[in-house]
This record gives sequence, structure tokens and C-alpha cells, in this order.
Amino acid sequence: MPPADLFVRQLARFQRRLRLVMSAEYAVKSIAVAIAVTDALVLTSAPGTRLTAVYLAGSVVVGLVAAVALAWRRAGLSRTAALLDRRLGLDDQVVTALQFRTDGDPVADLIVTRATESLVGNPSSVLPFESPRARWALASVAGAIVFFVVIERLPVDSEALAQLDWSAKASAERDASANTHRWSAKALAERDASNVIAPRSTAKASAERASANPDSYRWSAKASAERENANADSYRWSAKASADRESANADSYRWSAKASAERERANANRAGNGARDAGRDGRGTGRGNGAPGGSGRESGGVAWSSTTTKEPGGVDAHDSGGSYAERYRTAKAAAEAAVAQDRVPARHRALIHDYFQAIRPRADR
Amino acid sequence: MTTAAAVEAQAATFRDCFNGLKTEIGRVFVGQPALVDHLLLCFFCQGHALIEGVPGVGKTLLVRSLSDALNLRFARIQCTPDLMPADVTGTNVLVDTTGGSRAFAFQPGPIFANVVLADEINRATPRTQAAFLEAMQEHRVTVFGTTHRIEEPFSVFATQNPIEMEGTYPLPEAQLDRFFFKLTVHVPDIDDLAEIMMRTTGAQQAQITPRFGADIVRSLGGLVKQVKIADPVLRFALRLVRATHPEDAGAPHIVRQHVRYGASPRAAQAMILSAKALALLAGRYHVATDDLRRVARPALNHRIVRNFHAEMERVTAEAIVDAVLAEAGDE
Repeated sequence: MPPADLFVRQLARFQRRLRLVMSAEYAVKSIAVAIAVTDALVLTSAPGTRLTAVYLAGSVVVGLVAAVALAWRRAGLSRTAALLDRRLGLDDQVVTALQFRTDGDPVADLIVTRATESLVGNPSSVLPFESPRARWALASVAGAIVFFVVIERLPVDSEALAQLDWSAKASAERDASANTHRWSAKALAERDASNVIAPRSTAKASAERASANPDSYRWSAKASAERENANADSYRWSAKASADRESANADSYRWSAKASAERERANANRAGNGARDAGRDGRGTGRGNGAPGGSGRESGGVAWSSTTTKEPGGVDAHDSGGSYAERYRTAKAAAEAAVAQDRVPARHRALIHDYFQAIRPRADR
Repeated sequence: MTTAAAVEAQAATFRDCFNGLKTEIGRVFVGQPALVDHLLLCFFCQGHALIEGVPGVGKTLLVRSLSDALNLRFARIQCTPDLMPADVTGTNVLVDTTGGSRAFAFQPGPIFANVVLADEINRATPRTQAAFLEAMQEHRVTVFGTTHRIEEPFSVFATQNPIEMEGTYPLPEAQLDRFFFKLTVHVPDIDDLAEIMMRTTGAQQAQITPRFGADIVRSLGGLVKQVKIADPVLRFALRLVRATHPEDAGAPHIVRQHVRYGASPRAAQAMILSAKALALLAGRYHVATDDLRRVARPALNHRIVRNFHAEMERVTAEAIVDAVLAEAGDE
């Protein structure tokens, strides 16, 4: 075998080892990045647990593939040669041999022969896996995992999600048998379960539960109150929050005098009792969609009940006696006006829009 | 056709020759082995050296010892303000021909030697200094329109005194650039001084035995040029040279503050060629970045033109080169 070929073969052994080492190094980093990306997705779009797992798995797989591809591409013969020169103290011998291996003159042959003799060692001893260099990557992985766990628990805790699934299914069955609603409760429950957009879904499911089963609703209302106490800046489920907001913005955000009066009366006894009363009266928990940056409770916004027996806009379906289509349009117009006046984030506007789309009258479909 | 075995034999001869010369010079010139190494590197690369040192430290003796150790023609030119260019290059003189008529014939000057010592070159006028230019660069001399080649090997070793500047003409940058290396002869330490006293004040004087002729020096010079240098190593040398320029993005702070002009491409040539010779001495046939680091100071020192601030703040060229070496990383 010509000296140049022998040299390249020897060098290729070290190149394969370098690719393996670099792949491992990049893989650790890519997993950290994948978790961070998943965290960002969870923060921005609040997907469900299953979707989060899909995001995470996808990010990790893509990261690993990218890591291997990058290591494969970057660990060329030149890089391997330069690294070997440094590690083995060969004074740039391998780099020179690589460059002049095809020259064919005696000096080049001497360099190549000597370089080949220098590369007889075990690649794993020359290029070991280096844990110290991956320290920062391991730290970022740990940090990302902690961050992931924390943000997973912030907006939606697993207990509430489990309860949501259970209660949504139950209420859907009850609603289907009672046939009291124009839209399918089961469909809503399924949608909630699939979207798992926590605040809205929970509200709807809670409202449905409240209409059908005050006992189950009480539990849910209590859970909601606990969540709100923990997350004061986001969605407030407390009926008291709705009352405070409405009283603060009485001129612009009252949906109906009657509904407000009922709400205020009902909410006088704070969240727990208020929720129970609301369930008994066919009114669910109020939902506040406050301006971003505001404290939710004090900021202006739209407040309406989101029960299955009470239509948006705070008008009682059974009490008012008007057609559903009229009440729907009134409530929708009021919601749109209120949303237009407030600085509501686009994503939240979409939620409101989706909600009204879901409950639109059959004639509008 | 040259074979690998022949190359290895030549390399062994080069090492023997180099070490033999070093030993011979060491019989007369005491201490400062790095200085002797650089002088021999310069000679085998067929470059010229500017040797700077205070009076009495052995500058002339060093060059004289080198020429004595080689079977080569040696010439010494004592530079003074009244030295004329023709005294260096030679001139046409009127001679009687065999036919009885008279004709002009070229009478070669002392520059036509293998080893030329230009003692105290900064005492010669700029006009005379310029007479060295063509010879040093082109290895030829033009007199009255006729070009005369100088026999290889050819090296000019010029000395100058850095302290006594009265009545001197500092070498212009163009001429400084033609010197392959600038070497500094330091005052010997006490042990070396004791050895010098023993050798020079005793009854017996050390004798140098000539060892090699011009042919072997020429062939070894060819061998040096066959040594390979890889692209990354070459680029390291070029980065070093570029870093001496204040306008270069990679220049250290000290360069931007204290350098007016950086080193020329000749500096890179000198570094690479001498690094090749160093590699051969180390038994290698390729240049390493460490070789370049070892020859950077003598190759760059005299090619860096400092500005006013550097002179006022006494920032030396050596300090600047050290900063460049410290900041120039391997890619």
C-alpha cells in the first residue's frame, strides 16, 4: 500500500473517533437546546401534556440528528490532523503530511511515513470523551429540566388537567342526555380535552359541571380559586375578580344590569360560596380577560359567565326569554366592543373569537 | 533522482555542519549560544544579518570566526564617513593590455566575497550604504552599466553601535529590511567574561579549523528550501507579520499605540526560511509553529518602525514583538 494511503487510513481511524466524541458532545448540548425550545413552546402556546411530550420528543430527535450531522461535517481530516498534532505533540507533522501526501517528492514521503508511524496509537486514548468540556451543557440540561418542570406546573397543574378530563366527559354525557343545549356538550368537552387550553377549557367544563352537578362544580371552583391565588397575573377565575372589575368599569363593561346585580349579589360571599351559588343559579365562574400587565382584578376587561346554561353576556337563557340568536349577537357585540377597548393580546382575542365561533347559533353556521 | 535516503543523508550533513561550525566558533566566541545559532541560520539561508552591540562585546570576532570556520572568501569593510561606493563595489580601472594598449577593466571591490563584514555600517554615508543595497538584494553589482554577479554563498554581516550616535547615519528602513536578521550581542555575564579573559590573556590562542567549503554550503541551502510548510503554519507566520501593522484588526494594543509601520513581506520570508532550517536541525522535514516563534524576534525586530510615543515611553521593538507573539494564537 502506498505511504499516502496508509497514512490516510490511519488518520481515518482517528477521524471516526473524533466524530463519535464530537457527536456525544453536541448531543448533550442539543438535548439542552431541545428542552429549552420545548419550554418556549409550552410558554407561548400552552399545549397539553401529550402535545408537550410530542414537542419534546421531536426537539430531542431533531437535535440529536443535527448533532450527529454537525459532528460528521466538522470532524474533517484537517481538523482531525490539527487536533492530533496538538494532542500528541507532533509539531504540525500530521497537518503537513495530510497536505503534502500526494506530492510524491522524497521530502513529502519522509513526512508522510513519519506521520503514519506517529499514528499507531489507540484513538480512544488520544481522543477520550471529555466530560469537563460538557459541564456547561450538563448544567444547562439540568436547568432546562427544572425550568420545564416549573413552567409545566404554573398554568396548568396535572391534577386540574385530570379533573378537567374527567369532569368534561361526565358533563358531556349528562348534557347529551338532558338535551338542554343547542350545541353539543360532548363536542365541547372533546374539544377542551384535545386543545387543553387550560383557562378557557376549565372554565367551560367548570360551567358545565356547575349546571349539572353543583357538588362537582364546587370542587372545581375550589381548585380554580387555588389556581388563581397562585397565578394572579394571568387568568382569574374568581367570581370576585369579575365583580371587582365590573364595579371598577361599570360604565363600559356591564353586560346587563340584571346579570351584574346577580353577580354582585352572588359574589358577595367570595369565591367559594360565590361559585357554589353561581352553580346553583346556573351561573358559572366569571372569567376575566384583563389587560396585559394589569393585575387582573383591578384592570379593565370583559367579564361574563361561561356556563352551559347561561349565554355569554351575562344574560340568563332561561330568565330572559329572548331567542338564543339575539342573545348571542348581543353578547358577541358586547364582547367585541370590550375587547376593542382593551389592550388584549392577540392570542387572547383569538380565544374569545374561537369561543363565540363555537357557540354560534345554528342559523349562522 | 533524489531519494528519501539521500535527503536524510543531506539532512544529517546539515546538522553535522551546523553543529561543527557552532563548535568551531565556540572556541573563540564565548557564550550566547542563541546568537550563534541565529547567525548560522542566517548564513545557511543565505541571508544578511545586522549585528548590534556596544563596543568590545565581540561583534567583529563573531563574524570573523564564522568566516575562519569555513573555507570561504572573507572581506572586511571598515565603514567611515569618507568611504565611497566604489570602495565597496569596485570600479573600472585603466590597465595595460597584452597588446600594449590600455583599456578599462573592472576591479572588484570587497563586496565580491562569500562573507562580507561591514563594520560599523552606520558610520558610512547614505550614499555608500546604498551601494550595499543592490548587492544584498540581487547578489550582483552594476558598475558603469555592466552587471557583475557575486559568487554564492554570499552574506553581508554588518555591525553597528547603538550608543554612539555622533557622526553616524542611521540605516534607512529600506536597507534595514534587507537584513534577514537583526542580532543583538549582549554584554557577557561574569562566567563568560572569566572564560574570555582566560582565553585572550593566556599564552595559547584558540585556533579555528576550516571545515566546509562553498559547495556544501550551497547544497545545504537548497536542502533548506525543500522543507515543507503546511498552510495552517504558513498562515500563522503571516498572521504574525500582519499583527505588526497598527491598522490590522488583529494587531495587539501595543502595536496600535506604538507602531508607525509594520513588518514587510520580507519578514515573513525570513521567518519561514529560517524556520525551515530550524526544522532540519530538529530532524524534521516540516516547519512547526514553534519554529516560527523561535525566529520571530530576530526577523521582526528591525522591521518594525516605532512611532514617537514608543520612543518617548521607551517601548522597544522586542517588547512589541513579544506582545504580537503572545496574542497570536494558533487557529
